[in-house]
Amino acid sequence: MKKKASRAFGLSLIEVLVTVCLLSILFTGAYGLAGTKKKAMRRIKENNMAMYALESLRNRILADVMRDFTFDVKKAELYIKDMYLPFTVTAETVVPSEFRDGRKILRLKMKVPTTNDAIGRIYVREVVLP
Amino acid sequence: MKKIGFTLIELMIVVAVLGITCTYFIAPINQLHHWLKTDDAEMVRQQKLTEAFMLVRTAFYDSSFVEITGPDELKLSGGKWRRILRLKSGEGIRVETAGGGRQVVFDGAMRFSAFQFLDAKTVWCQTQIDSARLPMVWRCGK
Repeated sequence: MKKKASRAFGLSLIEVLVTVCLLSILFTGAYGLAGTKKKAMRRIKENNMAMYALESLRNRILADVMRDFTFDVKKAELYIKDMYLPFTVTAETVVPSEFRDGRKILRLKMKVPTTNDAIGRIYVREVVLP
Repeated sequence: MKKIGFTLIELMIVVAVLGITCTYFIAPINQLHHWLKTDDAEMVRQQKLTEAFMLVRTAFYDSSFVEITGPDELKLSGGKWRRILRLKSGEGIRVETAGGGRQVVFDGAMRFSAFQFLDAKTVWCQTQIDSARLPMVWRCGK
């Protein structure tokens, strides 16, 4: 009587290594996705911060300008100092070539610096000064 | 007869490979777990901040004058009628219109103090967003 060849019990080395490799690849993918989500969330947070901060500055400056029709960059810098923000905000006045009546644009910028895992960005809000 | 099971060398290689893999992946696995747990809640909080901003800004843009009618209440007029209410000591906001109202509770993402009068078109309130603190100024008109 012919004896049936017995099947090897368990997994071979190659099978185990392939499984470990596949798990590593899957995990790396999941980690990358979670990282992307994390970056997106940080960006949403910074967007919110910029929205609130720049809108507030714009409104404060407009309220000033409409009260006595004067504006000073130093005053805007004082207002910026009045805010406790984790990012740098700057103010500058620009005279665009298309404005021939003496009006200026106040440009407010919030700079988010580059970090290890995110590229820096600049949020800009402009106010036309009378 | 065919050999059954692993040799010692094979077992040692598998254990070494698993050991190295675990060493490299334990910290990221923990971090991944933490991110997945916390990020969804944070995302919802940030969406609420955006929604509140759009609600309040639209209300101010659509009106010409603002009046503080109570410690936690603003009335906007001159354009579309709006009423803004400060909820839960500044941890939420409600904007009422002629046709109804919407409210947002920030779940700790933001907190703001009572409104202060600046002029007939402008009010301000001290606002805390995460670690940032700013005097939030709202002004009527675009």
